[in-house]
Amino acid sequence: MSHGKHTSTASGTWEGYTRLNLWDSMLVVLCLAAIGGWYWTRPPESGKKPTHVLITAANKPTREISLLYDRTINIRGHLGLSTIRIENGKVRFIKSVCRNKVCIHSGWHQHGGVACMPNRVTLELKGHTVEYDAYAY
Amino acid sequence: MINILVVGVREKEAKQAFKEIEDDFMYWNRVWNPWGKSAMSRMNSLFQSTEWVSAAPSVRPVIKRAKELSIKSNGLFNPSIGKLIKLWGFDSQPGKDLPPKDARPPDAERINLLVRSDPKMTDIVFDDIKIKSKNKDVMVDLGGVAKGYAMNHAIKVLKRRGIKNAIVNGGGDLKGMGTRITRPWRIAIVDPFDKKDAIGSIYIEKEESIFTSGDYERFFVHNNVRYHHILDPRTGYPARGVRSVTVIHEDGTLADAAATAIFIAGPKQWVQVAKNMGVNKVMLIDDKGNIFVSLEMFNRLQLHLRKDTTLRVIPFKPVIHK
Repeated sequence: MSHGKHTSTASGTWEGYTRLNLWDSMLVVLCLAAIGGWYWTRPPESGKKPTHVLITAANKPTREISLLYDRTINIRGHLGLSTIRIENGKVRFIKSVCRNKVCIHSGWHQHGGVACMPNRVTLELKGHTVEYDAYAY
Repeated sequence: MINILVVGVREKEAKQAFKEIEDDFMYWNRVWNPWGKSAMSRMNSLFQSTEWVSAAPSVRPVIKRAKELSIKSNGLFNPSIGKLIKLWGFDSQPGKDLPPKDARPPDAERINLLVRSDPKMTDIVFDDIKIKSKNKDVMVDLGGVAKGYAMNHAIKVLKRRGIKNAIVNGGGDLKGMGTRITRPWRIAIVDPFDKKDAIGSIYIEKEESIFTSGDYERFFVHNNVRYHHILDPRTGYPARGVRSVTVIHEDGTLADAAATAIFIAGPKQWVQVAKNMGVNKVMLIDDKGNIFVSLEMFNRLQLHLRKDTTLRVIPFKPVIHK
C-alpha cells in the first residue's frame, strides 16, 4: 500500500482512496477475527494517561483494574485461560489458549485497547473513572 | 437508615419489594434491640437465671448464627458482652447519639469484674426450642450481625420477587447483586482518615456484601484518648492498633462478624483470624494509615492511594510454584 501524505494517522483524510463500503469493512473485521486478534490505539483523552484497564471476558461482568501496580492476572474466556500482565502503566497478553496468539504478538498497550477475539477477552484502557453507586465505610 | 437501589424493574414492583423489606427491618429493629423493651432484652433477663427457657422465635436463628460465627472467630467476635458495652455507654438507643460529650472510661475494677466472669456465646446452649445461658453475665447484643443478617434477607426478598440487580445500603455497609445493566455496580471504599475521599473502589461480582468496622463510628474522647465502641472481650477495653477493617463476602452476616473479629485481632493476628473465619477478601488499615490487603482483595480493588501510603499485600492461599 502506498502512503499518501495525509494517510499516516487516523485523523488523515481519505483523499485519493475509495472509501470502504459496508461489505469491505465487514470483510476486514471478519479477516481480523479469523486471524484471531484485534487491537486499537487512540491518543489518550485530553492528554490524560490511562489509570485503569477494563477487562471484559465472555459472559462475565467487566472488571476494572488499576494500572498503578504491576501484576499478572488470569482471565477465563470463551476457550480457556488468557493471562495478562500489567507493568509500568501498560498492559499486554502474555499467555493465551487461542491458536494464532495475535493478542500476544501485539505486545504492550498504553492506550486504546486490545482484544483476543477467539477467547473473547477485551482489554480497554481508561483514563477516567465512572461515578459510584454506593459508599462503603 | 436503609437505602435500596434497583434497576430494570417497574416502579410499582420495586415499591412493593421496598415496603416488604422495610416492614421486616422495622420489626427486627424492635425485637432485636437489647437495650429497650424487646424479645432480645427479655431473653437477656432470662439468661441471668441460667435456667432452661423457651427461645423467642424472632431471635433464636440470629443468636444461633451469632454463636457459630463467634466460635469461628475464637471468641473475638463476642456478642454476649452486652454488659460490658452498657458499662462503657455504647448501648445506643435508636435515634440517640451515644455516648455523650463528657463520657469517660468506666471504673477499671468494674471492667475487670466483667472480663473475669468471661461471658461467651458458647455459654448459650440450645435444646430444640429451649435455650439457656450457663453464665449469668451473658447479655446478647446482636449489633455485630444484625445488619448483615438483615441484608441477606433483603436480597433474598428482592430475588424472590424477580429482581436481579440491586444494592442494599445500610449506612456504609452494603450488599449488592447483579449489575447496573450497562456496567457493574461500583462501590467506593471511603478513606477512614478522610471521609470525603475514596481510598479505592470495587465492582460487585454476582452477589457480594461489603462490611466495614471502624473506630470512628461511635466513640468519645477523654484526656485526648479516643475510646471507641469495638471492645476487645479479652481486655474489656476498645481494641487498639486498627483504624478500619473491610471484608467482602457473599454472606452478609459472615462479612459483618468477620470485620469485627479481624478488627479486634489487630495488625498481628488478623490474617489467622480471617482464615479461621473463612473470608479471603480483607483490607485492614492500621492506626498509622498503613494498608494491609489480602491478595484476593487486592486483585479486586482499584486503589487510589497517596504516594506516601505503605501497602502490603498478603496472599492468603499458599502460592504453588510449578
